[in-house]
Amino acid sequence: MKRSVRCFLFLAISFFTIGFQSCYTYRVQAPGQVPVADSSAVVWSFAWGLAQQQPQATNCNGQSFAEVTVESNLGFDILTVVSLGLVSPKIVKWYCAAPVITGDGSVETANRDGGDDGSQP
Amino acid sequence: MAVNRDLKPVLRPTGPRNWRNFHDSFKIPVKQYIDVWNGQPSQVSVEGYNATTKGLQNIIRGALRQNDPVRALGGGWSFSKVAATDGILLNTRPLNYRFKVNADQVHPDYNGGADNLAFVQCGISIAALNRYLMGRNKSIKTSGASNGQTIAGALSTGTHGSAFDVGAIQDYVLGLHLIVSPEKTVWIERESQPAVSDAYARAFQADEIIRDDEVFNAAVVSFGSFGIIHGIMLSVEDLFYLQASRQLIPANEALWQTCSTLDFPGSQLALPRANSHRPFHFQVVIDPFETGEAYVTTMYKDSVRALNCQPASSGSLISQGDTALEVVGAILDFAADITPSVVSILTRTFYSRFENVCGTHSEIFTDTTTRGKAASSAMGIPLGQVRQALNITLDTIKNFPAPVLVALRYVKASQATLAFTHHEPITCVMEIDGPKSRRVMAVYRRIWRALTAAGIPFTFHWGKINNLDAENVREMYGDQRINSWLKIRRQLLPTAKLRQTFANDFLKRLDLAD
Repeated sequence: MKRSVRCFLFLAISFFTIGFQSCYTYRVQAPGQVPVADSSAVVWSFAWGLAQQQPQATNCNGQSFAEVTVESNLGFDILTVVSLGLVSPKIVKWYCAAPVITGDGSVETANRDGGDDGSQP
Repeated sequence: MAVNRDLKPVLRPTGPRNWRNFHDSFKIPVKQYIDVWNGQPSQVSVEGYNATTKGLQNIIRGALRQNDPVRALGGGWSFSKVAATDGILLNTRPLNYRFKVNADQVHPDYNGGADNLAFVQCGISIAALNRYLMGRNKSIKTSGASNGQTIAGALSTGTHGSAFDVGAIQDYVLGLHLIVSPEKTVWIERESQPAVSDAYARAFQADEIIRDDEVFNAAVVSFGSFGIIHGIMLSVEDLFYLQASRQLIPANEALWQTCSTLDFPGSQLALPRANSHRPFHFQVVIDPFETGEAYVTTMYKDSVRALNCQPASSGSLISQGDTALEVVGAILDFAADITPSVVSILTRTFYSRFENVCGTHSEIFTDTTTRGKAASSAMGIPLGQVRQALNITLDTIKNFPAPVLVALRYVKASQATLAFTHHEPITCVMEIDGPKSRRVMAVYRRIWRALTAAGIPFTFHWGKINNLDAENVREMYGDQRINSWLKIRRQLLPTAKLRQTFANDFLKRLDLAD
């Protein structure tokens, strides 16, 4: 195969493979917070930002966010450009932080003598 | 017994969805994915724990009624589908209660201090566990290279570091509180190494207390297939510090001798402190296309922080992008000729050397920076065969260039029946990491074939990419281990329906589902 054809194929395949499978990702993390549950939504912004969708994060059970990411991909970017900015979608993901616990739980045992009846299976 | 409404666990089902593992090496459609939260997530209580036990049992009851398989999911860090199911996947990560043990609550034959015990709920992450124990001036004994796994997920798949005198995570577990059916939970310890009194176990409403080495050794590495591990009794130790360095040293006879023997006093390597101290951690990383040198990481354990020695600075403001691995993999799938150069440039650029870095376990083994489509395959190898296995692996990669690095880590042999780190006295874990790409998957297959053809007696890491099947799993572990594990599973899950409920396609493929 000619070098120029091979080079073209390389660029074309790389472009489509990377462009359509991959996302630009932007991430904000809260230091020290462990993500334990996640959810995501495709959010749309309309008419150059005059209106936008506003997803509600109802899955965190009263806990804070550990991490938020915003993703875009080639398809979304093309849509934004082709529509001249009338619509612009992005994927927003949010990760709930682990419950904050201070101290240990204490265990009250009825048998306080440390004894053991050696029960076996 | 009725459960206080405030304590009832909060279950948040998301409905059918495609679930992806953390490293994005596969996705699987699941019928139901449920986030499980304690009813009072920030307020630890035995009553709250017990209410969550009941909630989990209700889920099992429903799964049995619907003939759905159910699996408790940890951090989702496994590269293989060992933890996955297409039925009900329970996200246990929000379950992070922890309990202390008083001196009068230990078993009479327990031979340590009560303050060296910690009972934790299954979903607590290694990072959170580290933080909690630091507050008690304690530490876990070892972990994997980073800290995102949950404790139950990590022990169930044999997650390890390279603390070769310690073992893997399951090797400092002393007890398991296992939910085996809608009606029954069991508390399991070794007979030879009991931890707490019956009264302590009964406080968590264990219906049966089993102290039996064979039962414990089977259950502690069982991939979520023995039921739901709800609580774990850990053996911890006084807070310690590690002094770490990573050097680029000649890959010569002295290095290979050390890799095959771990004889540090006799080693000719110029390692810091090696003449006077045995390292806590020893790891070798090799760029398969630059085999003249190797990156050697050593860590030494101290009871106090060394003078003028601090943890590495926290993360840079610029890190590897989420799609970096995918991009590298896609390009090198097509342009294999440039693989050696790319791997060497990336390794030299991003795999940095360092010296005199000190910190607690949690300060050294921190958050992972690897995101996106990653691949990893790891094999447990007896020390005597390390050099041959490594040569075969490096030759295979040179003949079929793929963007991978090869690492050697070391783990004390485990007592767990199906621990892949069971090779006595110390198992070398040869790990081959790279992006998830066609070429990387192809080189894995070539390496596995070459090691098998050479008669290397290796075992696959359960949570990493492998080609396990019903035949080779018996070759790797032997009939005695497999039959013992199956016998204990049948003992704990006495009906075929229960065994099917806690099975998945991975186990079925290996003939370990019944």
